Amino acid sequence: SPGFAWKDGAEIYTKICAYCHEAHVGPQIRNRELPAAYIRAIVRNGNRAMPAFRPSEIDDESLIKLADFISNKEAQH
Amino acid sequence: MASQYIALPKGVSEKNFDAAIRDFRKVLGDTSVLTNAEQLAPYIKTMMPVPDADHTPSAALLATTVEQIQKIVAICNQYKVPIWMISTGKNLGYGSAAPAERGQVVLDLKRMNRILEVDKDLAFALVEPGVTYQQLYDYIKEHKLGLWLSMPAPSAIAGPVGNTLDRGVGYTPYGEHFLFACGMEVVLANGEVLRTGMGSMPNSNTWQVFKWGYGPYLDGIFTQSNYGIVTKFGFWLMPEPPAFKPFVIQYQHEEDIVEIVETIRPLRISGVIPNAVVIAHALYEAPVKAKRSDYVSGPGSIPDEAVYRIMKDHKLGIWNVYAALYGTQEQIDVNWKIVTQAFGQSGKAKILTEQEAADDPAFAYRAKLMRGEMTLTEFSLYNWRGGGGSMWFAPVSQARGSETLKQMALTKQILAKYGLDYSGEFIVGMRDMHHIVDVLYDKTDPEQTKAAYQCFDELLTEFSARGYGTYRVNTAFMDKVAETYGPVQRKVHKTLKKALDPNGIIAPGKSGIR
Repeated sequence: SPGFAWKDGAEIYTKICAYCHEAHVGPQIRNRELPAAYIRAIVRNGNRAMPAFRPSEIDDESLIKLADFISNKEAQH
Repeated sequence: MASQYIALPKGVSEKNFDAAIRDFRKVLGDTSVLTNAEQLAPYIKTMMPVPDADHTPSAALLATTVEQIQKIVAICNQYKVPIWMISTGKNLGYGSAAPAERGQVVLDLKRMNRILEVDKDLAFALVEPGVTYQQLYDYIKEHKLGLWLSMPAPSAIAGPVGNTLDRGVGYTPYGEHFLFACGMEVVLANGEVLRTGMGSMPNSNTWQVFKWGYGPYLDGIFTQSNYGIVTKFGFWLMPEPPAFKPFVIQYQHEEDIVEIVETIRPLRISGVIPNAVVIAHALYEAPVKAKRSDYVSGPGSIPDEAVYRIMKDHKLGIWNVYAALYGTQEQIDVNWKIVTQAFGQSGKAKILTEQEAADDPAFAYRAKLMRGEMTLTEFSLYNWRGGGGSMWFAPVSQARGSETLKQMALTKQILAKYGLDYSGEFIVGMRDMHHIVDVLYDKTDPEQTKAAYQCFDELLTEFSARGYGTYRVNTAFMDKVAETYGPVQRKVHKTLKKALDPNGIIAPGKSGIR
């Protein structure tokens, strides 16, 4: 049987990002309409205190969904 | 001519590396062999004070099966390509996901992430390397198994295999993770698959229940080592107790650590306090509540006077002892009486429970860690200075008050010499302490980065001169720490390495072993 795979952007946000970005560790990132390209670049390269995340952790396709989830306003979901 | 690779393995020509990459692609498919700079960027970020170029991988391989790994080691042997294994790859402060030596190929097992078995009755799990604590936590909840995890502070994004293979620790009664490991499967450099303990026996159903098997017990030689690639890992889980009581005990003076440790030791050894207790300094907890820049500016380490102001403003002790009781309510009531009497004797301790401290963010995240709940709040430490610089300085200490004070004072003095702060805690075993100090600096500042490197080097030198050894270290200092344990041990490590991996393909440099 295959291993674990992400369902959608919301799941990745909840199970990874939110632990810092909803807990005053990292800055707020939702509802800021951050560009998807910027989100992708930060996730893959890391940024100062923030660790990088590899394609084995968040695959390219899931990262598109995650960036879409973060960059869109909550009302649009 | 510029290479098509961002780095090459040591001693491997580009022509041979090309051939190896071609063969890796045949085994894994093109999309699971990463060689371009953009794909490899996340493997390069470390928090160490050395140039990223020193730890740049040449490629990354995303394997998902034991058979693929067997084929990969065959290719590595053929072309003498060194690989660096990672499981979840969140070894922050110890080298992250980057290889120990420039040019090594990262064997990334994150996608090999099946939970193979969780037994509710016998309370054990058998998992693959890519399984995260979050994944396991969700599985246990979904299937209502009534079992608790123990994990380090990076919880959700870290995993039991990688953490235990580096002999990491957690905060519950199962906090000494390797102590609770039971059964491994290892791909050896010659491609053979070894199952340790009872796992070697055909039709055995005791792999995850009896550790030792028969003959020499081998699991230990696959931790903090490079003798094989662990592909399955079993470990014991704690049954969820009927009741849980976390508490914090605060003290106001640094010298009080002597009283704290002398009080805790008998309670830990007798099992009255069963979990891996933490004695956290104010500056370890402060980043959850305060900004460094609100208290100091300019160069130099933070003065004691500012630390006292932080303590006052944010209701912290200079030492904050986080511990918990587990069991039935009756068991907890009996032990609580023993704990409060022991700590109440001198009148120096301030004891707080969930009733008083539930809303305190430092208490809240500690309570979560002590019951195996996911939280990344401790990453606030990386905001204290900011800039992405962090190394764990982790000497082992006796659980003896005078020793902890001596180690703390020495650490603080050396850090101050380089303008850095003492952000330390003691994680209490029964007889030992993992004295854990986050050497935090701004990696975007070249001067501070240089100072941090020298500071870490001096910490290791001064501590080993006094007979204090380090339990775990980042990849930039592995050789230095290996030296401190003496030539005989190093020679034995090397002899084993030669016997098991004559071509030196598996993670050369890990723990100073080549």
